[in-house]
Amino acid sequence: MSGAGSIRSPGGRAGRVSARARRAEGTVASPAKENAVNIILMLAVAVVGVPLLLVGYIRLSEPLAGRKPRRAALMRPWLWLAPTLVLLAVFLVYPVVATMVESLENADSTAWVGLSNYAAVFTSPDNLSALGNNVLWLVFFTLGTLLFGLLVAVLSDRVRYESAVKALVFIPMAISFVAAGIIWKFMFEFQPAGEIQVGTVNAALTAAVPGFKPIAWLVNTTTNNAALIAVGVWMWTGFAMVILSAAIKAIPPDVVEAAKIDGASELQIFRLVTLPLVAPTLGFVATTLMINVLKVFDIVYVMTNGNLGTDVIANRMYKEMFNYHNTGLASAIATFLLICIVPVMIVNIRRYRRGVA
Amino acid sequence: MMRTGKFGPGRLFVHLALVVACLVFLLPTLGLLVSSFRPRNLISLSGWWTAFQTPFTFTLKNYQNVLTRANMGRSFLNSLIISIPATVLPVSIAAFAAYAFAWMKFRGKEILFVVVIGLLVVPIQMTVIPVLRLFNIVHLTGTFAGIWLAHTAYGLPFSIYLLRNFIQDLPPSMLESAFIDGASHPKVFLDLVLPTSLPAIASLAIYQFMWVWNDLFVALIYLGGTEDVAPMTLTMANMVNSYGGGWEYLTAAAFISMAFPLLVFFTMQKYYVTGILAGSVKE
Amino acid sequence: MKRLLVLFVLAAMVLGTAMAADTTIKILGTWGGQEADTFAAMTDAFTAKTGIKIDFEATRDLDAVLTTRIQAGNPPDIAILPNPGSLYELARAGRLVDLSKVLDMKAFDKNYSQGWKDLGTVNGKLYGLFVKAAIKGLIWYDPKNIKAAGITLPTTWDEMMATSKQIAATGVTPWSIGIESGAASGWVATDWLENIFLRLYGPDKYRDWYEGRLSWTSPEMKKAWQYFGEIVGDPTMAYGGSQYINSTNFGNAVAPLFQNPPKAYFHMQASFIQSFITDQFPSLKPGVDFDFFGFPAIDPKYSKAVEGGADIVAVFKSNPAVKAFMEYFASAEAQSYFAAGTGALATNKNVSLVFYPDPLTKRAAALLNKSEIVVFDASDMMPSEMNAAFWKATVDFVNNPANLDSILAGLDKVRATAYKK
Repeated sequence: MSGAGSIRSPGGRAGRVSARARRAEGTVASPAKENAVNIILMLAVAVVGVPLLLVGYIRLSEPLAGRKPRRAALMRPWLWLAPTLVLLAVFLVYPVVATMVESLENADSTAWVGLSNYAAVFTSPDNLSALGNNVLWLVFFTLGTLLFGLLVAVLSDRVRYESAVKALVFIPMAISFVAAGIIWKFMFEFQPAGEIQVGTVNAALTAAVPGFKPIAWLVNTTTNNAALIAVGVWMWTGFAMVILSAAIKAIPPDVVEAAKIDGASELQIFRLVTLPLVAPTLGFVATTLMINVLKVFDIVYVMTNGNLGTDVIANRMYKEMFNYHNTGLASAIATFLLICIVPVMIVNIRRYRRGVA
Repeated sequence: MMRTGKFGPGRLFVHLALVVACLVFLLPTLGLLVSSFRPRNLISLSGWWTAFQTPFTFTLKNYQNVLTRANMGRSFLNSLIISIPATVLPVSIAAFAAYAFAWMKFRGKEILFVVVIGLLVVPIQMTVIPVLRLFNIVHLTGTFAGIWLAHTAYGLPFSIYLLRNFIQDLPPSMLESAFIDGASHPKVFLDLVLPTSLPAIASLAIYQFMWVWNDLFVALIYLGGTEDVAPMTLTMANMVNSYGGGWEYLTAAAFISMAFPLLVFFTMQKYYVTGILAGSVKE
Repeated sequence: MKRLLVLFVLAAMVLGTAMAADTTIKILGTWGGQEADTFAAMTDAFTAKTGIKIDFEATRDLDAVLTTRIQAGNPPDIAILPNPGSLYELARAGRLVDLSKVLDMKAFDKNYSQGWKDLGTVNGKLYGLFVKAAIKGLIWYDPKNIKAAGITLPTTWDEMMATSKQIAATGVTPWSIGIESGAASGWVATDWLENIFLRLYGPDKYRDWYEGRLSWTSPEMKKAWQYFGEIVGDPTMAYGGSQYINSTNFGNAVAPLFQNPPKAYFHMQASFIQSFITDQFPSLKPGVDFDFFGFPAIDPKYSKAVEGGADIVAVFKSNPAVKAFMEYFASAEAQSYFAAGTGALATNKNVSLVFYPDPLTKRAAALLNKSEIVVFDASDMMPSEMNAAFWKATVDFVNNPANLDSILAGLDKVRATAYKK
């Protein structure tokens, strides 16, 4: 909105980003003046025009790459990757670099402090506790989601009501974090023993288990991390299930038939045929889950805000950045998160090399 | 597709496990659904399952309040305007980027690809200040174009990762024969790879759509929260006052908001449930 | 080519319309639901009079959005801040406009007591306009239950503890407390501590406390926490014990008072709890079925002290439109919207009591206006890091009161760095 607030005038280098934007979609500088026609035009251009534009672009890239096959083979990948690289550079790489620089500066980025922010990351008890929790998440969330996703994918493949099952398991993915927070606050509610139970989990356990004393799941330090991780697994199993299900269905039926003819049992088929063929996809899902869990934030923020030993590193970063305005420390935490990714990336490089070879 | 024979205890286990799984996944959401039809004073005083006993005190008030809330219609439209291009764009761009990673040879491919995956870990909160600064310079703040670009960029790492994973699993023989016949990369991509990758693209589209549809923070930062551009997530979040009062409306709001992505999911289901390479293996 | 031309023309058209003059004021705040509706009614009246439009954006993530926009260079024109701590930080960083250049200070002085003016002043200049107040430290009860139990309302802490123990002896917990509140969990407990501290040591020491001059590990501080511990540390005193206190949202914690038979008799909370009571129990009438008395005195010197809270309006960019709006916002006419619409108490002392929707709110408003010693919520006055640490410390304390010493030591560590900004 270039209303009362523009401090800088449009720069001469109107960036590749904005030029593309204007050409492709037509920049709306003041939404208050939009009307229905404008919007529909914009939408049509974006939804239809852009893919067409992209198709035109890759077709155009052929002559651009040149006639000589060797030069073309050299240039073509970069042409095809250009839009990706530009977008990633602007929205992700540039902030990462800026953050890394800020991690070496003080709270309001006015002076260099070297590595002292990193020292704080590793010595502050709050941060250490959060790091420990992230490890818990890394292990249990990933395992739990993979396990349940695989289980549902494999089992539902064999029943007629498969679509219904998959739809039900997938629903949590369609729910926003705010709604999920409310749902699980209801589930985990605590009333003292002997009172009417309003929380589903406590009510169910009180009814099913004689002598059960209600537990304050989100507050009790023994159960609160587990409760949050359970919510995470609940939300993401659908994701794992859909992808794993597609991979399972891609297994050529004749391989399975051959195994059956050889007299293999269901379990053996699963272990010796299904698993190995699904392994690459499992790796993909596991990688995605692990990377996402390093930055898990919403669930913890909405449900406990990290209190009573449930904090995670992304929540610490959020607090330092936005509540305490300690840019240096927040950036150090963020950079540390990025460094944690390196082992995951190394494993992936190896897998990639093996896969290509 | 695997179908088992008539396995007594085995089949029972399968059915049992699936029923339990369905219950576990359904129950929490069901609880919220039932609560959304209950009056506020009862929601916090008794469990949602008690609603099924007399006296039946169901009410439509929560839904009424949400649907008649000022700006709900406009914000639904805004959510559509934000989400549809923010799905089409990253999926399109990721498709040919994934193809390039999968089927073209060039130096630094592995490193670059791994960096792209690595960018998945960047927390969005970390990027907002530098990017918003840029947006302010080029006047993209508060524009739909700006938010489309932002969501596209944020969605690219995962999109490329997912699509490349599937595209590289296509049988090389299929593509090789096309190249031998003299087809160029664009032709192979558009005529061969895209159609066969449809299930993967459909899954990706669903994920991306849902993610953008349920997003609140990115829209708030780059687009702003004023009435004319606020998405549904924001309008719904603001039904709750600063003390947290009015949260009962969120129970209804959650389902209204969920309805559209679930509709998309169900209609697109046939594209990816039927398997990626169904029938194309024996070529 | 033709497509490009069309787009170009479109862009030009739209850009063109954008250059037209705008008299729109952008306001960022946390108000939602009824608060937002009330504010909208108020601003609509302003727009009708002046033609200046108001674009209100609300989010409960105000800190994140405001910080981002300030650092990125597009702050709102006006922001409604939830606590003075943020006001002071922003004022000291030079981000805010001196309100004496925006408001007619003569009219301001007539409408606002010195207390509210001082609270908004940093380095001698006024930066914050306080609106939508609440009075804290009220003890809520059900008059019928109190009468049935033969209880006389206490006026001192010792009387209150004696009454509490009396009730506990009958097998019912006297208190119901809930301090869960999402990202701000613990603020209810800080209200407890602030009221106890205020009545133990008075407003001057109270100021020393929130300005960071009093050590958290000092014996005075510890004593205040121990008073609180008498209630939360004793499972016979508070309904559901520490697990309930920490896991129950503050809005729901008032419910046990109104069960049949009652599960608790007293609930300490600010004046805004009223709407929560009527939400959960729509048939209850204020004054008849629920009522309040003031926090009991500890040191009789400070028995007339009262703690309050409010939202703060701060200006980032001044222009004639903003000036006109702020003038309106500070007026009794505008403030009466909040009084009538949300039951919030007006800071503008010229808002007539008739605007308040019920006798209890009227009483609360009168109490706020007439109290000799009015202090602001101490945790809100602290820098945000100290505030958050304070909240978290109370959660930890409720969880295990035996850890008091280490909790206080941790708070002192934060104090060492938080006040330097």
